[in-house]
Amino acid sequence: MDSSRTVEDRLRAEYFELLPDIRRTLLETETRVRRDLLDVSLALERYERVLVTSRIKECDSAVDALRRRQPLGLFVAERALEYSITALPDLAAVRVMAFPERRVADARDALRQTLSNWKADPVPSGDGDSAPLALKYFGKWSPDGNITAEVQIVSLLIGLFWEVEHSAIYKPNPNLHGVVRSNSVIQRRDEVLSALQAFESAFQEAIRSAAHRGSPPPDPAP
Amino acid sequence: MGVTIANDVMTDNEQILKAARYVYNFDRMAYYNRATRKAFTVVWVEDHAEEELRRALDEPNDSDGWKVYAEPQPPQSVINEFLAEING
Repeated sequence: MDSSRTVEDRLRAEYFELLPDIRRTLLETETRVRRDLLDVSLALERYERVLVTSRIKECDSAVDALRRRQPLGLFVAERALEYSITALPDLAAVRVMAFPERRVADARDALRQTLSNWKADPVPSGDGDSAPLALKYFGKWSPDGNITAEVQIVSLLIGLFWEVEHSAIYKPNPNLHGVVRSNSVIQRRDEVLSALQAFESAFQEAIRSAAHRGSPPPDPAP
Repeated sequence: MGVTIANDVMTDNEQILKAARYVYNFDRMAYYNRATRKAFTVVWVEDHAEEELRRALDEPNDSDGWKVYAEPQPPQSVINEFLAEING
């Protein structure tokens, strides 16, 4: 490659060279995940959901994510050849969102075998003592593969909240990652997540109670 | 450009830095103070206890250059680029 290019230019070029591999990795990841979830999906009640979403990290987002990992958020031009987009663990990512919470456990169990050799990196709860908010796994489908994929399993409401939070706050300004980790913001976010978890638990309990009384839950609104 | 952050959205370490007149740079994700010629990356601030931060703040900077608290330590070329930004 042309050594006169900036680090960012080099990484953008690398990204587009790798894009076919990233697409293949995403396709393989999503296909394997959907295959493993087939039985769970077919067994869903009408009010239950298992959604599988997938995304490829965009070029600028990938370069920026790698840059933010460097001290002072800057690349060192003299070390240009040391940087690689493949250092990012989430170029290809699949998220499984399930509702209610018992279906999160079902999804986890269904994927356990496939992801058994992947690195687990659960997202801890706000208090650090409760069950993790989400399960995250990183891995490659073949030892000589160059793209690491991410699979995340999370409750539907929390997954959707994260999508809204990402779209509204981080995507327009990725550098806010540093500021939004401050105590009071974390506390407010934890309260939102706790409320969503409480809602899911209450919903599941209401379903159980209704089933116990012999009355099926009402159809969802059209 | 530095940014002052309201007290109610700051961690203890950030409060300490603010009290010591450090300002935050969003793009470089670092706190800095021109008078003391020191800068702290957010990652360093988050990874170190209050006592370690206070010790770092108290450390004299006898050199003419800046002291940057980061892990790993950035090379001088990166520090120079950072300084050019905050001084520009």
